[in-house]
Amino acid sequence: MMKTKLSFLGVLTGAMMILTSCSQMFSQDPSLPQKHPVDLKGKHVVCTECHDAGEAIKSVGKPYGTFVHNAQFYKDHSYAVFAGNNGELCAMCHVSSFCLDCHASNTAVRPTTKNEDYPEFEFNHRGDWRARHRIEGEQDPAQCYKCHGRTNNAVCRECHRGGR
Amino acid sequence: MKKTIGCSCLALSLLAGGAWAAEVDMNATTLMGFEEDSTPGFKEKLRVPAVEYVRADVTKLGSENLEFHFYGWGKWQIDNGKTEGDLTQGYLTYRFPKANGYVKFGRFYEFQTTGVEQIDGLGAGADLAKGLRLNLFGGAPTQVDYDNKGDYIGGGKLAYHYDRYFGVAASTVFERGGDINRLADEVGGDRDERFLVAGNAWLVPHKSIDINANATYNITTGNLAEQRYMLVLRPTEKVSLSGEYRHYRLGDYFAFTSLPDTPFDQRGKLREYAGTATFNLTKSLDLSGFYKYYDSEDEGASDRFGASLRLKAGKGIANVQYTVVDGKSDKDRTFQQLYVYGLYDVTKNFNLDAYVLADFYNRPIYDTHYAVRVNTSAGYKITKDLKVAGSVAYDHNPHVQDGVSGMLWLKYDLKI
Repeated sequence: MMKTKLSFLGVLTGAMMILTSCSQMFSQDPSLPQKHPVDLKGKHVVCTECHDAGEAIKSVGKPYGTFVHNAQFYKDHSYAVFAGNNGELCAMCHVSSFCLDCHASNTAVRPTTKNEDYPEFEFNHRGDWRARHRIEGEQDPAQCYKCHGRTNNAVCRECHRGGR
Repeated sequence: MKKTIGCSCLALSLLAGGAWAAEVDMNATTLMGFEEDSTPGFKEKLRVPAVEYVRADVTKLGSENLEFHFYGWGKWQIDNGKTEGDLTQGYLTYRFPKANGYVKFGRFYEFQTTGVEQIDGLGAGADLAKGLRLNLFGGAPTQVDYDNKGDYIGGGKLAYHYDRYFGVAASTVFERGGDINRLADEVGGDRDERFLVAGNAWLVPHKSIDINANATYNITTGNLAEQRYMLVLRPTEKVSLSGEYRHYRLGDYFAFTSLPDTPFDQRGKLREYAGTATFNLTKSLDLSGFYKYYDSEDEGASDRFGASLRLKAGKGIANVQYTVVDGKSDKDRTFQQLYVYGLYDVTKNFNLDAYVLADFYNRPIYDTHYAVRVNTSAGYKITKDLKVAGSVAYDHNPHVQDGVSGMLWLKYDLKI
């Protein structure tokens, strides 16, 4: 098993190196600007008001229309994160810690509590989560895992003492 | 901890050297809350947390392209005197003027592989020619809860895109050491290893069609842990439709949890089928509907469906959402939820908002059939950079007969 895994790592590294060397050089395109040329801070962003929905975003490739921040984008933005490059696109409008308000490994208070004055954010824990989580946790435990599987579960342990 | 402080000191001393030309964007948020529970048969509880969040983004550190990013918090639980804090991120990065190239050093997060990784180490990446992109990172993992982290972690992502139409990526993360594969006895693999590979793809055959796919294979346990596929259709600017399928092998998905028993005690397959539809009925009125079907080997089937109506007019926003969760075979898991909220900008500097969230349970929990939370908030901008806000909430639910809680925020922005 170990040998297989090492072989897999070797093949993956080799493939990456070959592809990198085959491409011979880095892209000569300028990097994305550090800030969006037009100030969008605090605004509900509709990319397609200025950009064509089918036009590709430079160095990301995916069209502008797929990054419009509508209700669906908020719920399923992980797909957009994977499609973007290493956050440079998001960083044009969002500060580097923006994601960490909700996705940090160690939070001072729940994101719901921190954003109690933003009812538009539909957090799982809003309202009576303590009673509801026994239902929703059985129905879809995968949704809990991303935040509480490996971190942020000290509160879970107060009742769920089964851990090693 | 010593390592972290060491890294931060090094970063700060480097900062001091080049700070003379720097641009600083800082934010400090002070949050103070109180929460009082009154439950029959129990002593009244009062919790009073105070938290200070600090963020700093320093750019043009001597060089146009050198930056420092910091985010952390300190907390004082006033009612019991406990204190804690966290350096969430603190790293130096150099961004190359071409190819979106970067190198970074310190404590940072990676979101590009199979999930969220917090690392003390090094990262680098760049666009290559012909639509390729490579990111690599390595260092020590910094998960904070219990003994569920390895000694070292590494990974990367190789992506390719063909402008406008499609993109594919393969990524991997490898962590070794400690006791991280907590389910090794049940699902297999080495106890001190976390080794995952993921594939991501997007396809946009037409500007109104967006197809996405993600899959994660758990090499340590030897099974496909997660698959997700989503189709989004935007036939007109006023209509958005989506369909999603998710499939989990929960044993393989939960293998590295630090909570091996409940709530992550399911090991079977979980399938989810979801659909949403959003219509912009008028410029100010949106109607959405959603449906999700869960098929769990461990817990049986269940449904979740509902609708929401959102009105935006003048200085205000109002939203009503109704959700039904149908436990099908287990009616104990059936409940309905009503969520109503409104926001109103009274003046340019003064805003009010309120929400009511009520759950109605099919079977009572501790003899209580419903839970309700009513919250009202107000915010006032004292100056362009200083804002104060407060909220008060009332709770009645199976655990709390009468609960009152409140929160006070002070947010300060500083740009130099």
